[in-house]
Amino acid sequence: MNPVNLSGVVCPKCHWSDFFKVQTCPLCLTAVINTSFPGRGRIVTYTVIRYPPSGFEREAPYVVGIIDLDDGPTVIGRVRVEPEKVDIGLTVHFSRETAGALEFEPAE
Amino acid sequence: MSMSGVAVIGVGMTPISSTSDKSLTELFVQAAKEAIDNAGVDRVDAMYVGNMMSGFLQHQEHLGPLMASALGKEGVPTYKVEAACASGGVAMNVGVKAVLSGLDKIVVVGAVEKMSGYSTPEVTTGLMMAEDRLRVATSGVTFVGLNAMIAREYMHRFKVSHEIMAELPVLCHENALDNPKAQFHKRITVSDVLKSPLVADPLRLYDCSGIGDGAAVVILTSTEEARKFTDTHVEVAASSVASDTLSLYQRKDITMFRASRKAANEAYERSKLTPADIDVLEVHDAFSVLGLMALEDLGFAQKGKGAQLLVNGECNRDGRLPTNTFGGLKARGHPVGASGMYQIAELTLQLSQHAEKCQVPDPSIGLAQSIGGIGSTVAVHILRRT
Repeated sequence: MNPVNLSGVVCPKCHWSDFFKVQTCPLCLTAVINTSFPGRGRIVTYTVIRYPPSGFEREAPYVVGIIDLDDGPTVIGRVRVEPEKVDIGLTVHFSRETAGALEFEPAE
Repeated sequence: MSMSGVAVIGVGMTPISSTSDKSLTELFVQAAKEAIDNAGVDRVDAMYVGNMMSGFLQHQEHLGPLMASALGKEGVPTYKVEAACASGGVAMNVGVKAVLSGLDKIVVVGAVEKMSGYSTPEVTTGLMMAEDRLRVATSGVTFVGLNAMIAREYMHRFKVSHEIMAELPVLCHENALDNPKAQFHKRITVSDVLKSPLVADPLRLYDCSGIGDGAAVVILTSTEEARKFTDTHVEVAASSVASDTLSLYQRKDITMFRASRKAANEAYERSKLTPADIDVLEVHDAFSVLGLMALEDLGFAQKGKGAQLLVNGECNRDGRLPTNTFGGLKARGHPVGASGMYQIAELTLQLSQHAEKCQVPDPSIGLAQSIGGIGSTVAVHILRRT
């Protein structure tokens, strides 16, 4: 399955980018433009949440990781993978955004 | 700016407990009365109260007048200082600046946190308020989880085993045995750490500080004024605060905290001291990995080599760099917003030779590092006996 594109913003001047929509680049204060990034990346680091915050009680244990997009910014999101099958360097694909959270799954 | 003008003339600390029946106000008043008695002052010109979660957990804000009036000091200017887990450290920085301004002579600086009596998901949600709500908390990551991601990367990159990382909680629990105010009085081994339940992989229960209630307060005044009250002078050699991005994912290197390095470098520069001058150290070991990074970020070890100091026994109370001498956040306890103030109170006791069973031999310079959020705020203080 091909990864879904991930929408975000990029600064036309200094090329700072983020998945989270803001109006202004925090580094050079230039107005950013909306863009999209190919949703393919690698896990930089991850954890398994076993004691979740309020609202996530039924989902634990679940994996959260920092993901370095191949052609885009570094992001944080949920990884829909069994805890024993995740590792640093694992290639993941963006699948969807739910309630403000990015969701990824392992690339087959 | 020289920081030679501020003295710590009194300290007070409540015991830290997860079964306390005391309210937020009772905790603060207990520590503040102890500090005021200890200093022997009869007037207060200003009061600073550090705290992180009273609004969320106790539905109580406006702690300044709340605490001042409970102490019978209504009328004085009061300020609440919030910087997540560094609230205590940052309150100290603000109090130091108040004395340096010359406008306030006798300043009460304290910090308090009440975390017990709430469900784990509630406290977990409260702690995540130190990170970005809209960018990061939406993923369901917890504060332990963010630190666990740091630990994973740190252990992977520097080939640090969990056995070695566990040396810090073991040392903290050992030191806390001699601290009657510590939350945990229980000797643990490396094997206990490795066998304890996973909280957020790879961090286990004994890698993490617990949930507890406590308050610590110090009394500050100018060094000239201090001579009226005490013969043992402990003065603030440097007080520095630095910040970084609020979110961990936005940083290029998550195995160090830029804010720690910046605050420490500024503190060394201002005090004209170096890491080699530090006789006693208090680091923000909310999670084991943070203690190792602190030893590196504060200039005591090369990157990835912090644990070597522990393995060599240098951080023991009889070592070259006694660290977390009252048990640190891990075993003395971590009532989050108050921990930075416990560190200042403990260093003051060490430097004035009042640390009793926790005393290290004849220290003259101490450093405390207090971290807010995921390294987003760091306060570094250097205290000196004069």
